[in-house]
Amino acid sequence: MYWKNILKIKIALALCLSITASLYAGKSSDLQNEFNVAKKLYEEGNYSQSIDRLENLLDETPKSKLKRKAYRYLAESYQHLGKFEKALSIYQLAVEIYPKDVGFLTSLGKLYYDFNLLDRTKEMMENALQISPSAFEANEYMAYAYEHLGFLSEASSYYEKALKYSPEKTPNLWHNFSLCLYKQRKFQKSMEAIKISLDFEPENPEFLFTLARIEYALGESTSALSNIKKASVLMPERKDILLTFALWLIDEGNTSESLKMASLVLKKEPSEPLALWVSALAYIRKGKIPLALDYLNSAVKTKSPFISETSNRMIKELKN
Amino acid sequence: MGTRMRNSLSVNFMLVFQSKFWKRSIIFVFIFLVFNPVFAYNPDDVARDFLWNKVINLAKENRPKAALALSAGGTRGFAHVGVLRVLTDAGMPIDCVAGASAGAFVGAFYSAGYPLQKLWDIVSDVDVKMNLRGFVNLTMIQIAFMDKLASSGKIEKMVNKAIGDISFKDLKIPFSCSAMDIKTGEKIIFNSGKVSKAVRASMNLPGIFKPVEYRHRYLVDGGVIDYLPVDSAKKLCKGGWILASVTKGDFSLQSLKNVLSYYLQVIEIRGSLLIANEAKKANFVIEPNVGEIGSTDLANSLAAGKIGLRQAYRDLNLVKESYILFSLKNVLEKYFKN
Repeated sequence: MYWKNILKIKIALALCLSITASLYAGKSSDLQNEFNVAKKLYEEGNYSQSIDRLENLLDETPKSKLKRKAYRYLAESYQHLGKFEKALSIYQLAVEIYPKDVGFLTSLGKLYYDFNLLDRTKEMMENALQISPSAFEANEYMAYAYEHLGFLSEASSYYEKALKYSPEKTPNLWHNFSLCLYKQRKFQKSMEAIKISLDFEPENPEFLFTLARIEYALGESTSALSNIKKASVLMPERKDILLTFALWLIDEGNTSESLKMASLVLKKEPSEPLALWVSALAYIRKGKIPLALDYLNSAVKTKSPFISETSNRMIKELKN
Repeated sequence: MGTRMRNSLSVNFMLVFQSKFWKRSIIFVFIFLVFNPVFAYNPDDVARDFLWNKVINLAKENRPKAALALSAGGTRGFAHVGVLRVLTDAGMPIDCVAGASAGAFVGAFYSAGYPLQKLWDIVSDVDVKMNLRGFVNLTMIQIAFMDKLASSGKIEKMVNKAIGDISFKDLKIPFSCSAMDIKTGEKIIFNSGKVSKAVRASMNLPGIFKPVEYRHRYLVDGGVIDYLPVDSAKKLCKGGWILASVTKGDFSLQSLKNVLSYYLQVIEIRGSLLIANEAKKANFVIEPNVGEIGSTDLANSLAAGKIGLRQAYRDLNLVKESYILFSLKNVLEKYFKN
């Protein structure tokens, strides 16, 4: 009798266990399905709907692996919707739960960087690099953060690491590295870096402009003028390129061409400060002082403090 | 980096948001639209870069001299190393340097051509590298029982070891540093003789270190009388442009935990009064926010260096503009001549 009762209890327990297991399996597969739907919505660009599903799923799911993915899609969905503060809080929570997840650390660091929270960017990226020293993006953003803070040699060494660990062609990263070296007046190295960028994208006007600036700094004015000309043809809307070109032409004695460029800008914006100043400089070079004074007087009235003050002092100098 | 960075959102801005989520999101989107232009064009940047490259490429004799005045400030003075790093990266010409106390230490190394990266390494671990650990923690009892003042000879040895037993005339850049004669109260400006002895005298805290005997004088820390040596810089670079790097202490924040700290506090207060007068004579003043760092807080020397670097980088465009405007006549000479 006793053994019979024991057997009954065992059978009852086994039944209970199998029912619970099948229920759990069903629920787990439901959650996986729910996640797949949310992921599909995300991939289709239906971020709001994806967020609804992911938030429900995160309330329910006990599975760490799924949860981790859900946090990522949730944060990215918020980012796509421009709800950056919400994305930030999701990443902060994810980093708290998964402190050794390099992906979350890097994503949070990148978001901090976007908001100019550079010390926090560094903190996150340092954590990521402690776990994975070859994490490409962590090295890349360490370089950006250091550069933005003025630590240019530290930035350079992180650029080198980022370029070493980069998984693909990175012409923009080479360009950024080149600019960082340019700021340190390491022109030869800067030239080497920009040439690699240009190997990838020979017609990139931004790269050509940087190359021209390096060449100009090195005194190679012929090739600098040729490259800035190419850049300004490729990006005619960029006033900085056009007017830098105009300034260099004044130095070369080609004041007529320089004045043409400045007048192109002034036709659209009659009180453009730099174009006024460039015109004044060209007229001084041509010896037409009254015309130069007219332009300088206009430049003084602009809202560019440095050009205004420089023009003011130039007027005094010319009147002496 | 420019196109990658959505910048200009202040660190504190996010902390201000206390309203409902949707309101905050609208503000964030607005900020992104305002501060995230594809390309930010600033006409001043182009003009500044153009003129800057011209001024720094002028021959030394064709442009105004540029002088640095480096203030006293103990540990805070290591901020000058960060300032120098930024100026050097930017190609800023530095034709002469005047320093007091910590400023004398940094200035001497720089003027001797000591590599800035190595100087930065010293800053990173200054209490060990300068072997100064110990004196900063003097208590009232220790001072009461001290029958004689300590020697600052370690400083002299350290300077000698790093830059060599050289004289002022051997320096790559003209340099001067100041000390005070404790018997007469006179300001003594060193610009000849042994550099290490002068630096030691300039850093020689009165009451802690024995006065340095030099040519029948008894010399103590230059910070007592010449906290910010703008006048000395002017004398070195006559008619030149003066950049002052000021590492003023915020004495309201200092914790007065021992005799030494009270004593240094008096020097700090006097120093800030001296700065107020001298800074007006400089053409540009960089003032790293190192006030919270105590003058003997050697553990924070690297923090001071970093603050100095960040402040100098923030001020860099203004520094360039100031020197360009000072040199404008020289820069545009060939245009004006025509």
